[in-house]
Amino acid sequence: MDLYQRKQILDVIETLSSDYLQGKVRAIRLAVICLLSGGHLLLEDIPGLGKTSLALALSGILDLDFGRIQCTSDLLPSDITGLSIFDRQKNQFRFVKGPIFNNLVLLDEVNRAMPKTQSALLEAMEERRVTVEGVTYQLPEPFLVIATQNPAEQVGTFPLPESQLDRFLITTGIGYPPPDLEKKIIQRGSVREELETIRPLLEREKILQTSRFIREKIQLGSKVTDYIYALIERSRSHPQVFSGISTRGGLSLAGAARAEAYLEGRDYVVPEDVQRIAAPVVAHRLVLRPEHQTVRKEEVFRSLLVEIPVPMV
Amino acid sequence: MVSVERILQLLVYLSAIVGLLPVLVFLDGWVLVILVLAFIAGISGERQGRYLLGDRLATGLSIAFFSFFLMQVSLSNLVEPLIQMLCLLLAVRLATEKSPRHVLQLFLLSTIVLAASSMLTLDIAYLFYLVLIVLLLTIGLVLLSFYATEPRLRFNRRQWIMLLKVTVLLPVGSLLLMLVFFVILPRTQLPLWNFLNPKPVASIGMADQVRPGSFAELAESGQIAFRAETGRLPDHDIYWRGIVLNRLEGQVWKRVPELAEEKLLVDPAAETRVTIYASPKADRYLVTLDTPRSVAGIKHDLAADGVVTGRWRDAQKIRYQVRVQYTARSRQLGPIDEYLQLPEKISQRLQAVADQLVQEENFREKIALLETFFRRQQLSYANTRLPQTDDPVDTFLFASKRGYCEYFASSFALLLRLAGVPSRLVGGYLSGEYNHLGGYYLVGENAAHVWVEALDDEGLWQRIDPSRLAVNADQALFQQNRQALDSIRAFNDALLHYWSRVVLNYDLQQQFGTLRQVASRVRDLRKIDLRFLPSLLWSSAIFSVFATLFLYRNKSTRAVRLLRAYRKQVAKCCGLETLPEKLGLFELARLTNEPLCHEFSMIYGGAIYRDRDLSVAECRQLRAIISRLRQQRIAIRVALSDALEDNGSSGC
Repeated sequence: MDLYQRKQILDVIETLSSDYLQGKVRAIRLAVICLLSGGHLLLEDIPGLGKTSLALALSGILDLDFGRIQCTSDLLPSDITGLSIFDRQKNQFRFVKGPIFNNLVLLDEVNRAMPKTQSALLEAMEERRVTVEGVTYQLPEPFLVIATQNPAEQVGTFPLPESQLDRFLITTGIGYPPPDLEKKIIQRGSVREELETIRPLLEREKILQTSRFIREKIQLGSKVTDYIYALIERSRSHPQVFSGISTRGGLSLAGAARAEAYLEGRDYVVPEDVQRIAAPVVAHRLVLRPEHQTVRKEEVFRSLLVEIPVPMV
Repeated sequence: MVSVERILQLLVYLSAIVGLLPVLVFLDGWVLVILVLAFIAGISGERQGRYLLGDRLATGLSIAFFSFFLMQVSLSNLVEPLIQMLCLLLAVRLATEKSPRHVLQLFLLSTIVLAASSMLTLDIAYLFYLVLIVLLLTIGLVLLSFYATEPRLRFNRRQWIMLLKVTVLLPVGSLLLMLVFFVILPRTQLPLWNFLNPKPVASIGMADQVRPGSFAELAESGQIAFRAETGRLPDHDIYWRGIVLNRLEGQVWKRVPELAEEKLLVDPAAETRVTIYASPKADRYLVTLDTPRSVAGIKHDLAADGVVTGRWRDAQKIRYQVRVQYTARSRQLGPIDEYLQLPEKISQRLQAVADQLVQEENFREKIALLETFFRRQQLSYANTRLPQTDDPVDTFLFASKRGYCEYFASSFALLLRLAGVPSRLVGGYLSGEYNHLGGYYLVGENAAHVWVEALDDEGLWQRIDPSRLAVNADQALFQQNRQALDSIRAFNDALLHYWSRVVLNYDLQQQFGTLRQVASRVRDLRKIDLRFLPSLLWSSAIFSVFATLFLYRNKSTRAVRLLRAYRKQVAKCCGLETLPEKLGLFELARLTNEPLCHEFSMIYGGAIYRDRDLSVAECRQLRAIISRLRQQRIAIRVALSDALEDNGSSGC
């Protein structure tokens, strides 16, 4: 079955993972799923595992504008959105767009920014527009935010509250590459310079069309809808979970499962698509009971996932 | 020239006599008289072509006998009136005209009478009668088919002989086959036609080596390891002992049998008996409950450290009894140096922890400190996404912090050895589901477990289970066992267990014992209070209604049937009893990597997940796939793993 642009998209993933970012297939795939289903990605990992490279490579190969924001505790909302400055010649205020006006925005160490800035950011992510001094500016399409945070750091951070976490479609780690690969990477040197010469494989317009195709043409049957519902319903009554998956979580899961089905080459979603994508999409949205804080959310979610029967008839 | 009718009549009388012979001594005098009269009436009726007993009269008589039986019967006296009634019905049929339908009834009645006689008596003569009636019946049925088409058919001598040869071939052949199967069937573990399939491949289970860090994922299988008949034991403390691993070579724990020099401190009061029924398995270690004192019922060696190795034929289900010292500990007699031996390479972090442990004074404090250390490390119990490294203990404790029992146990034991406490690993199974109906523990391969034994200051081996120190120990280790077996599953499994106990584990004595038990239970029926009868009737009526509804509902759609047939076929191809319930179609196709499975899931899923019914053409295709699967062998790793979890694999 030929799905619109699927070959090209797989080509992008393949080229990135084999030529530029070895050992990061999973993260690349998840980023592409985010892009195609119009969500945002939160990478939780320690520095130096290639988060920035991932964002750079993705923007290069997809011909997207790239903006980078390094978050610190004194970062102000206007540093992100941009601000009006007075133009003396024309005798009027002129709006200078901030780094958020890019297709692909890398928010490094998002948990270092103070809550005020965080919420301005996340507002922009959700609404896809920025209002400064009464004027609303539309953000460019497609719009993908890749935020990173270091889970190991505690001092001087403002952890994202659950309500903000809920706005990220996917949360994942990158993880260390396998030993052999890591040795090879060390031997060969950084690919950062190569990334600048990367040739675009897909146009911006094509990406938008593809994500429209996925939204409209990939079918989500009632069986799989029931399955997703069972999943979020069960998460709400799980003994270890304080508050379960929101309706937005269910929506995101459905969207991501559509993109996953598309990548798998089907024009309909099957429960296995949901299973594969569920942990990165949903696990971070769970709020555990205080007495179970030490348990990883992912483990809880997995225990929940295996309990629910896969609908087959 | 002898007519078929004549011979058929002869066969009818003969089979009636064979059926009646075993019960004659139990019949009342008047029933005997009626039987004799019926024979005479029947034979004279055939001579004269006129029967005393017309059809209506015969029906009336049958009803009368039946109501007589109903009046006589009581719970204390069930079997004999029943047999008498059957004999009287037989008598009625003997005295009436022998139309094909009546002949068939006569054959049936004589067989039933013979079968019913086994409720009163069972000796070797029964076998003789059974063979005889099978012979008579098959010949009779063949003749009956002739007779039904042409009542006046006659054959000459040569034709008769030929016919007899052919007809006798059937029962004799089947009897011979029966003899062969009588010997073979009880000794087979799987259906005979399964010999084409590959043997079940164990993926998770007890292993004779512990080597953490070599697998990225642990596959789960739904296979049953063994069933253990015993009373209910304390819930959280059931450790099934399999193997003791006492030598650490590099990162691999192995077993050196010569090391075992110890003595079990026996406490006669705390003895339990367990009978274990194990599935066929590849290794030679017999699982027992911690700690075994003696084993019976199988050729075996019991090592001093409680490890039992047995000898039996391959692929055989085995059964053995174990006398268990539930709380006893064993005293080390031999040298302890071997239990302190260490790998060459120890990481600095590990050594630092060990150095702290060494400073503690006694065993108890060392263990307490080590447990605190484990808790502080926030280790979680998991069997997916495990790091593959050269130094799994170090990685597990300080970096990845996830692992399954092998990681916990080997790290704990290594640290103990570093701290100068002799220690070893014990492999086996943890806990199990208790089936109240059958009175046994059902232990799956998924319950495979490894724990630690350490030598305390008094020279006794103490059991320590470090996996309990995981932050998620409660769910990971005991989740399965907490949910009680639902009653239907328990009933089903109990049935399966008794079937394999009584039928497959062929034991003539036991089979007769079961028969005798059934007979005595029938006699004991008088103990049942009559008040229960209506409720019993009601519940059986309700049950049958539900059963019908259930069957009807299950038969309702083609898709369900196809799916069931497919899953059954794949399970068979993989040598499994059933596929895990939670295994989806596409996941199954991915695991088997079998083109046919991919095709099936695409066609089937393409319809079902698009919310439409399967078309006729699709059904035909699917059926064709199932029948083609029959000729395939598939290797399957039954694991519910995640394609996106693994960094190395490209998910597309």
